[in-house]
Amino acid sequence: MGILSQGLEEIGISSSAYNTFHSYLGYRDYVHYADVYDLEYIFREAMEYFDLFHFHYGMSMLPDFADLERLRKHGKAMVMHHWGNDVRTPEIAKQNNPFAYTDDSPPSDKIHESLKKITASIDHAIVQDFEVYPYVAPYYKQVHVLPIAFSVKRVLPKYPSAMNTIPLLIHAPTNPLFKGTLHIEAAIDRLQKEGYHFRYRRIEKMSNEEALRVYQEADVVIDQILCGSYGMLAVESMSMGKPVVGYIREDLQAMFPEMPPIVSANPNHIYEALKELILHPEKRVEIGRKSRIYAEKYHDITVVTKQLKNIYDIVAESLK
Amino acid sequence: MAYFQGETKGLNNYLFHCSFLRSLTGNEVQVWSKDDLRPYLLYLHQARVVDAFFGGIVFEAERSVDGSTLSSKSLGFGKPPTVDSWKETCRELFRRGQNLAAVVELSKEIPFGKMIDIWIALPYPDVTQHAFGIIDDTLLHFRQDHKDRKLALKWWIQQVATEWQALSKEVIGHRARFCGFVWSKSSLAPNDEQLVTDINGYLHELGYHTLWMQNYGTVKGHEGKRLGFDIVLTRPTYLGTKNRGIEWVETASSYVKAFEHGLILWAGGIDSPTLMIELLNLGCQRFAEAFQLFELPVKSLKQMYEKEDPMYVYVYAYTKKAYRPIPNPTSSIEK
Repeated sequence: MGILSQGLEEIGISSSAYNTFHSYLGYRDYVHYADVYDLEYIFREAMEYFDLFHFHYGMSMLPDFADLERLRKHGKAMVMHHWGNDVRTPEIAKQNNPFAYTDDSPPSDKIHESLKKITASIDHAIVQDFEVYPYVAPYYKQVHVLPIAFSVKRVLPKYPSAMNTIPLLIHAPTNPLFKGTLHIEAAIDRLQKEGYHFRYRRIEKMSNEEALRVYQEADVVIDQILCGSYGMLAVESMSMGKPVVGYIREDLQAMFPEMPPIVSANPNHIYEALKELILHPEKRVEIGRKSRIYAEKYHDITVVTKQLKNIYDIVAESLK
Repeated sequence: MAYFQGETKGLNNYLFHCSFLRSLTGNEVQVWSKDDLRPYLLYLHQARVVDAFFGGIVFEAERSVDGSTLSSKSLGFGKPPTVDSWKETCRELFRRGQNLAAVVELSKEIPFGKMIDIWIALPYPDVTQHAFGIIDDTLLHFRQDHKDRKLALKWWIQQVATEWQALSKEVIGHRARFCGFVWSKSSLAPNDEQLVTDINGYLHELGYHTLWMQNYGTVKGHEGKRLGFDIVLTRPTYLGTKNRGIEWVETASSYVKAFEHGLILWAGGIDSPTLMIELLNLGCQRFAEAFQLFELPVKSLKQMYEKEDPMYVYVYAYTKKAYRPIPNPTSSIEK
């Protein structure tokens, strides 16, 4: 969220971001620390002051979405950004993906109820890719796909060394059940027992700033292998020139502007995928280089902000 | 379990919140003259003084004239502040003939034996600020170094204390007393916690009271004493909507009592035109003895007085514990 605000600032658009969800990740750049009651307290003034409201994660400023109708009547442009776990129902998830984990999403009827309330006032949604798209498409007039943004060009790539015979594998599960950590670590365990030479580090309870420093040392980064698409960790890692292992659902591969250079592996293939990368340092380097190029092309803040600005223009235009 | 009562610390009850400088949403600059303040500090009837009214004032600058954010409420409503905007806050607060200086002048008119309590809200050192400015030959960066936030606050407190001493000596026979400083950011970021603890300690060394204005439900809301606040005032965010109806205030008042806080009667809701009367109706029955701060739209009470709105009388009666609940209320509080 803060990264989008930063990007908008860079193209001369004033925006303010408020974060009410606080975790050990400690995202703080371009974001005001707040809680839901702070937002309730400033709502009336915010309604007057801001021209467009970009909500995230299926939440708004007042309980029970009481703000949305008021904002609409006030002629304010609005867009809801869904990130996945806020809308991922098992019914849809399981249709195309037997590995999908949805227990950290609200119950399906609650998701449906929320989406009905939101879309009574908001016509436009943003999702990060076509994995999230089908969950919200039936509800909104228009759903825009906006890739995850990262300051790719501000990060110096640190490609894996082809000379490194004991590669460092890193996995950073914010939610181990969602990421498939059990399967990943089972594969790691097996590889270790079979005598392959590598190091493994699991990153948890670390601020994002600190974690980014650690990722720099990685030779391979393992993202999420259940969901069927990739997340922030993959984008950060690709930006650093790291080869990333994650699961890209077969039916979604053609939906990306080009196939991400992510080594696709679900729980059935994770062992093989990791073994391949451990044994072939030249592959790590090659994929790392491709990853950086891909991240620059599709995830850099300047690229994403332009798309976001276009979405805002469409949303604002639709009010006329 | 008891509500916090100002008498226990020798403080006047019933404060009113006084926003000054530029408002959050507009370009107008709020200045409080003696005439603006008179209906708050004195209960008037047909322009004649009947009684003292509110016991104290909390002054808080929302934004600087150039639109920089000053109060925590204004975060996101403008650019981050600089040392110049903080200087401007202090200068305008004490500018003769207005705001705090007007209160001090006016205090001479209040009935004998009464005092007016002055509270001043600290500006919020916004962590998104890259370059705050130079203080004591040091360039302060709130974003890079949290120690700089403390340095800036201490510097500002010293400016205010110095200005107060000068003003206090200048106005012979005034009956205003400067009680302390207010931290008005409700939610506390991890780096705010250490900051408020340190600043509260510093203020205590200087002999000031410290007061925290917070929203009911905020995570660390019950830890005010640990953080060094003398007084915590809790604001139920009564919006007049589902989940934030008058029951929310009732529940909040139980919490307030349990933790020995006071209450903020905030008339900022969105749906209920009778919100203020509903608050008074509830308050006189549930938390009449609690330390309370009225947070009303700017100068609205003055307008009520001028329009002879009975609400003016109701609020006065409430502060004298003479108010009785009004059934089926109507209100003319303008938002």
